Amino acid sequence: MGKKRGYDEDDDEVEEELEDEDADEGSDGEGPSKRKKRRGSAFIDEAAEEDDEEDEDEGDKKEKKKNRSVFIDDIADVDDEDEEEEIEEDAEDLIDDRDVEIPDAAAAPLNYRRMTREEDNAQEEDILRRIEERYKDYQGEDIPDTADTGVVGQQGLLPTPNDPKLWLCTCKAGHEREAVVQLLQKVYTMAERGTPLRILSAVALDHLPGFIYVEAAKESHVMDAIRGLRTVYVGKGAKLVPLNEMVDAVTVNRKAKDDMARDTWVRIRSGLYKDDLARVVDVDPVAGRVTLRLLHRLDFNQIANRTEEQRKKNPFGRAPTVRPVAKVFNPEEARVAGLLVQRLQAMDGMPQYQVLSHKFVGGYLLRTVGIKTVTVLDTLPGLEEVARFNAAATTGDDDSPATDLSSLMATLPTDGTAATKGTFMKGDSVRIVKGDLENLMARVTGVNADGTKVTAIPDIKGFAEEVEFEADELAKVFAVGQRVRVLAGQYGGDTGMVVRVADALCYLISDTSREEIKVFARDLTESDAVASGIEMLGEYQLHDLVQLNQATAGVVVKIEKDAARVLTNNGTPEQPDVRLCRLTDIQRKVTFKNKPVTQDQAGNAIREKDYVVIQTGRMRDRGGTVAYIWHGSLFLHCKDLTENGGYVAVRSFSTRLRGAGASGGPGASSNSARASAILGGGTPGSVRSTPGSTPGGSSWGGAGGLRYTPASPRPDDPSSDRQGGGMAGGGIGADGRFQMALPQRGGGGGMAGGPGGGRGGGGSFSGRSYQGGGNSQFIGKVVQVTKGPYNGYRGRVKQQTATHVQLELDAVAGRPVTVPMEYVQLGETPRAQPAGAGPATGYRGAPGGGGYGGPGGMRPGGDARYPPQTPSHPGLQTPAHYSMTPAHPSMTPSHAPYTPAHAPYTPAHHSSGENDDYYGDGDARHQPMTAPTPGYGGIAHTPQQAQALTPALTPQGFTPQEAMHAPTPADQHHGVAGTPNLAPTPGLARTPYLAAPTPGVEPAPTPGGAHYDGGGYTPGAHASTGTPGLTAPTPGLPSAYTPAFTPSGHIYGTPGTPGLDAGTPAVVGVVEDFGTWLGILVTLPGGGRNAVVRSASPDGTVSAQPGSYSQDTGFAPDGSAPLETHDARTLQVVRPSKRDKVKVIKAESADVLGVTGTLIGIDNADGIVKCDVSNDMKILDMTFLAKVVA
Amino acid sequence: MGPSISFEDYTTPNFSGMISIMDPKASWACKWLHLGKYVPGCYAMAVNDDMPDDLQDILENKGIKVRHG
Repeated sequence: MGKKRGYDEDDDEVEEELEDEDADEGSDGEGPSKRKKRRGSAFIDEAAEEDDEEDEDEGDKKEKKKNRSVFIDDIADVDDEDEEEEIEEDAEDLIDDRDVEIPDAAAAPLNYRRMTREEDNAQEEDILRRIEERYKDYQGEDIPDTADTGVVGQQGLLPTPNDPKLWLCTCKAGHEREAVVQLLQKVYTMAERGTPLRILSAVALDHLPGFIYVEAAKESHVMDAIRGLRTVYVGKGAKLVPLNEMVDAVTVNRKAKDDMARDTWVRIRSGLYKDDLARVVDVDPVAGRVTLRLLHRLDFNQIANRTEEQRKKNPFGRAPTVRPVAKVFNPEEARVAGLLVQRLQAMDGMPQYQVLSHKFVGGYLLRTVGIKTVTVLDTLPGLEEVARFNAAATTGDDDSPATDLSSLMATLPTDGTAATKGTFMKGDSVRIVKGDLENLMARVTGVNADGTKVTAIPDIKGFAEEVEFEADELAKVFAVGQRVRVLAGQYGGDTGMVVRVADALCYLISDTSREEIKVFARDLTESDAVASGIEMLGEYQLHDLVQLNQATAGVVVKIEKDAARVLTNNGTPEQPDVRLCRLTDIQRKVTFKNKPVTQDQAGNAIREKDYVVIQTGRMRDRGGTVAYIWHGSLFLHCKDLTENGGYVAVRSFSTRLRGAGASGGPGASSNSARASAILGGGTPGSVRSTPGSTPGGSSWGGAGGLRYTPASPRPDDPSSDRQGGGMAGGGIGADGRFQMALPQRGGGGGMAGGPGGGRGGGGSFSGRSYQGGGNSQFIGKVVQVTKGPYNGYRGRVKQQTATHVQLELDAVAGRPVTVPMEYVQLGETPRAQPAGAGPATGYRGAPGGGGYGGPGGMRPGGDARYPPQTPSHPGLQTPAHYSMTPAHPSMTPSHAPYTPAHAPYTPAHHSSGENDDYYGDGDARHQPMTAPTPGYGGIAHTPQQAQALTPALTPQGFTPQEAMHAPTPADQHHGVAGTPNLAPTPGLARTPYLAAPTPGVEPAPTPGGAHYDGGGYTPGAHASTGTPGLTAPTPGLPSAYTPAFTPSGHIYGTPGTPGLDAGTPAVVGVVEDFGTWLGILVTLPGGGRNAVVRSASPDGTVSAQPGSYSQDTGFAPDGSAPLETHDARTLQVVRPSKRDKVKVIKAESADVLGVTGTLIGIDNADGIVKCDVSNDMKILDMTFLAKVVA
Repeated sequence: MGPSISFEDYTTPNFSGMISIMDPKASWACKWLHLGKYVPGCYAMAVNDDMPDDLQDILENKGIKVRHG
């Protein structure tokens, strides 16, 4: 509403016009402050008169006189204002219209029309003349200036010391606009009187109540101007605004304008609903009204019971003395109270009711209030409050109740209306979205303390200056593949990799949940860190077992803002029951004084850390480590699951302890299982106990060691095959003590031959400390501390308890330190001389030892005992690896194909991909053991000796623990294995496990042997085939060994391959098809030439076209070379790197097999693949992927 | 101004900030806000409403660009 006024107007005219405006005002429904301002402005002449009066006094009569009521028709008193002053003053007192909405907006246009009618033609001409006069100097908008938003454009206008200054003046709060209008009018007036004021402009900003800025060259000019104004406190003077704050002083804070929109969360400021949460349904900015949805606080009974008299006295009722509770509206309630409930037409599909003057939609009360009576929430309301609010949605006839907290949570972060502002961090890459530099990229260099100003260097060549931006002028930008951390919101604290970017939204693969999550880019920052995933909700930690109510407990599988997701015991593996629980929903953390024991299907005792296999349903044959037992429910942790953090809730009676034959002696099995579990870090589970025959247990143990394998099928088969193994198991079971011995060993033993020994090592973990008796096995040994404050130190064990060791550190002489057992690993020394080691002592009998592959392997029969000997055991530690990363599941892959003959012997080394660090390491360790030592062979043969050797086990003892605790396999590896580099060698460690499970094994007559070999031998070993150990047991076998194995371990056995037939079908969970090899890049054996597979048949025969490959130029076929035919197992798959086209040559489910896509990121051992056809993101083990060339 | 046009169509109470310009040419604030060539008067600093379509057309036809902010 620009006021048009010329310097030449006389006072009367001015006044008249102002009165007109006053009348107009009724139409805009503005708040009181505006009315007052305008009213005030009607009296400029008085402002001048008042120059010499006391004008700062708020109680001043003069002022009151000005505050006329809107209920008085100003038009009427235009002519003779003075006369009416007295009356007006009275009226002012009688009628307080300050907070009354102007009721009759419709009257305004009427008034206006009346006025316009009064204006005769002469007046029109006069107006025209005035307008012309006024705009004669107007040169049009400075459009060029405006359009030119280059750096020079606006930046060039920044204030200089030569510019006039801005002065901050204090005025009455709520009268800022009035003050600037008064100043303008005073300028006109004074100019007319010939004593012009020398101020240049005056600014009132909405967000700055109580102040105005006046622009003038000198302070005295300002003082001259404000003197005599009743709205400005002259006494407070004028304060100079520093040059660098001048821009802010004239910048409108536009925030207020945008943030009120549909679905915005607001809080009501006063009245019955004070502080209540409401949601905006509709906004009418012109009327300044907003319609809200909220929970009502009406007391229908009280309303219905009001007497006629009361009603007359106060038609709307008094505010209740006690504030009724906020409730969901229920039409029945009102009807029962005797009120008339009218059903209106549904709105948005929600039933609508009217009770008296109140309207309800769904369960909410609809209320229309002034915009200024609500505050917009800066942040999202608390979860609980929102939950309460949303509860109302359920009582409507609404099909999709919103009470479910999870759906609620889902709605929160995406409704951007009230979300928190983005926070910038140094180094963020941003795009400038507003202002002069719009669309330029920039890099944040700093943020001021309150986060409102961000300095950044725009990405302009040759421009290295920091520029300051408002936070809302920048938007963060992320690229696909970037590693980021979530700063705020539901996923706050999580880290992940960006897989897709859509405007302001980024899709990440979370490191903790492995799921795709949707986050605002503004809530992200670059970060290479990986969230530990350990978070707390109150006192509860991720993966804690918590009790929700008497009959419900669950594992915390995810912690989100304000809430935790809890996988409860009420679900099944098919339909997990995951609840979103707030802190208050959780009663307590469940702890047991005595670890609970329950029974599996066959009556075997199951304890925590046991490995069980699910027997029913979709998850049949999948297995997991028992993380918790609660009232007959098991919470299993399966490494190969990504949902719910890998946890599965299952009833104990639908599981079976792994390795426990139906007929087996439960006791034995459980013991062994436990032992192995402990050792292996929980996984392995159980050894097979069946006394009679088999060792399967042993093999399992191995498996256990490797946590990876869980998925693998039951060990039974293998075990049976291996007689030796069987023995081991039996031995163990029988002898409680031996638990330590672990089945693993047994398994190992079972496994047979020398290799077994190697594995055994793995098995060895177990032995350790669990047994009471075994507490001395480390004493005198050199160990290495791998965690904690003494990380990296080496020392000799002086004393040992079940949980701790006291070390004399090499570097800190004379002062023993105590370190938790799981922080130490046997140093190299022990490894080197395993056999000799004292450990033997307790163990020896220990069959477990026997179990050790060594012996077992060698001779199926008696072997059990021997096994221990193999020095190598230490190496065995590998089990420890159990890598935390879920991704690994893949590990189980196939066992290398064995030639049938060999099958028994050389099962497989399959897995160890070079890529896979974990495995690799594991292998490394093994190597030392197996390869070098001819001794093994010898040992193997002579079972009895084996026993003697048993000591070896001890070292292993450590490992298990490590396994359990070690967060990252990598650590372990380093600690233990001196030779990480060895990694490439196939993971022996794993193999055993794998092998064991595979059904194929069973059939084989000499299964055990096979497994072990695999495990025991390092790739190197294979090559040599001749290793004594191997040979010894089974002459001829060496030859068996095979070519097939490549050190790299890439080649996996696939079902159907000849090798497999013999012994090992692919491990469950991983499927492979050589037919998918078509088009992939491989390295030919010998010479390392590259080739592209041009045809491939499922049996592994491929023909490849040799050529050369480089990352830059791609694949160049060697024209002169003919296609060569190879066995796929002799070829090495070239692993893709980022952004390569890839093909899935192996997978956990057949439907992924053969899929092509682009590798958009590599996360440790996993690759993130964007599939070509479906555009899905998949996380696959890198060993599953092959590079595709055109 | 024809009788059929109401000032209500082209005015709004929904604005923020108000600036009184006394001397547009000398004032730095006017320069900064690109009001240097305006006539003295009282202006809203930002209008928070959408402009009616017909008004937009009118302005467009006259080659006047609307600056927000």
